[in-house]
Amino acid sequence: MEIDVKKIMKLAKLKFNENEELQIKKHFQKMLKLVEKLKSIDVTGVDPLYYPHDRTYLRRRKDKQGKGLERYEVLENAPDTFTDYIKAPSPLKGIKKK
Amino acid sequence: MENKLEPVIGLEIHIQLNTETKLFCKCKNEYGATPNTHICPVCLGYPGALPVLNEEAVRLALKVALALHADIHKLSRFYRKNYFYPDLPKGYQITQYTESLATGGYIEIETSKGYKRIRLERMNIEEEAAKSIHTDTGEVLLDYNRSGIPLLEMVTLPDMNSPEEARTFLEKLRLILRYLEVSECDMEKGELRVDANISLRKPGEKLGVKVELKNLNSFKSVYDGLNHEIERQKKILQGGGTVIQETRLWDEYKKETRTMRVKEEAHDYRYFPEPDLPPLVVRDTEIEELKKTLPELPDEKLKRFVSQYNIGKDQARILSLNKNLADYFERAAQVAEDKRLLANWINVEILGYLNENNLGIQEFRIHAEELGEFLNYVSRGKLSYNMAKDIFKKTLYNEESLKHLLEEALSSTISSQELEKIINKVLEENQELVEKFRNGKTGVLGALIGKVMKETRGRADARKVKEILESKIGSPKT
Repeated sequence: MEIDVKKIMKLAKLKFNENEELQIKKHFQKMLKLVEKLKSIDVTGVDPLYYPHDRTYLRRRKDKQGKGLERYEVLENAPDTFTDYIKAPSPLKGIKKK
Repeated sequence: MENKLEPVIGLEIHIQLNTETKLFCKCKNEYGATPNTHICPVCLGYPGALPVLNEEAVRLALKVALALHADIHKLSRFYRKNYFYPDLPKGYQITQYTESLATGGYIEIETSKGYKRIRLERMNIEEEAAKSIHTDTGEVLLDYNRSGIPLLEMVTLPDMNSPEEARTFLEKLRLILRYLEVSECDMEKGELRVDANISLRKPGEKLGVKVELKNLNSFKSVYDGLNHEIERQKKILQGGGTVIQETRLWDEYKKETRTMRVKEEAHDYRYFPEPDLPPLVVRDTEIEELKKTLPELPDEKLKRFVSQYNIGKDQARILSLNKNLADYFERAAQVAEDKRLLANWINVEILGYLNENNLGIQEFRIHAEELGEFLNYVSRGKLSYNMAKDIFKKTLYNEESLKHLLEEALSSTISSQELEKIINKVLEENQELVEKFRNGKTGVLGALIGKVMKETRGRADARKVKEILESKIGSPKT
């Protein structure tokens, strides 16, 4: 299976130079090899394992309010803020709001 | 018309569920609070924070599924939908995917061609993203109060064939959701959001290329946006062109749709089962319990009102469009003898007043029982409809007591002897009108009624006057 590192970079919003790209490609190929090996095992009749635990159903909690974080604590941790808001670079690059 | 093109419309709807807290954390679910005051490590996506499912969100979603006749799945699963966007700091949204909470179901709507079922494809529970405000300088301001609010996602099959049908469907859906007390569905607050898929085809042929329409912020936007998009696609197709698959934004100020994004490389959300959440299991007993809590829904109520109270279908429909109004009607109907008069009175006199003053029935001053008693004076012929109307208006606009005005009116109501005398007098003085009537000019009856009403200074019941006049003059010669 051919690995499209460029696509993975795009989806993960990460940038690498050519050297790093090659390294990453190698890593992925190793992982894929392992997966191919696993795929060769006959698992007929075995249920897929979705979760790394034995819980068979989801517990639900009461719809009751609890204590959260204070705004100042959160804003302090944010790289950038504006009044009560956390500020981030726009994900809509190239689309200017009128 | 061989060239006739038929629109095919499907809707994707998001409904904010009316819970106390968010879907996976204990933060308050509240609209309009100071930004970033209902936040915690879970809804901010801090590493290591774990989601715990809110039982009320499941209950509300199941109520909707039951009311819309969907198949509830005993086991459904949560997935991670991966994408990087500042409104979802975890880097993924927890949603349902291939194993939905419910599939199927339908809403029946009334169209110009009769009843039609709009089928539903699926219903999923998922978490809301934060609210983003885009600034002029290309940044985004984030309010995480909205992050993690429970949403019910609902997808319809492309069963609608006109903007009118889409709007009717949404109105019906909103009504049902309000009856269920699942959501207020205020589109301005974003409690109900709608995207539409629209394509055109010649009837009987396979589906055309669809366009996804976004930014539909009101029912009117849905209707107008779809109409404009249909016209745009029609022009392209009739000119021999092809529609491209894309997402378009409706601009309600410019009255146009415009490209938001052309189908880029297909979305790659890399869904996988959320490892932090085991499957959601719904037991039969839970469904049975919930069924018992379902209220009577608008369609059932309408049918019952028609059969139980013998009122017209149109009147029953108006009453059933608002649960509180329907309740008011039923309380008054315990007392009022003439249910048709009552229904009509509520629809005309009360709704007129409420709409004019932008009030809800809960804010209406006159109690249902009081109204019932009041209207009994009309149905027993002790008070004319017009007089009752006047008294009612005076009560509402001058804040006078209904009881007091009623007593006053009853003491001044004209006696039948006096009315008889006046009618005789009017007939004597207007022989030529009576002749005209007998010669077939039945329109003059109105003039005669007017004269009698004037003589009685409005104290008589016009309907009764008409009856007496007709019996006295006899029928016109034919």
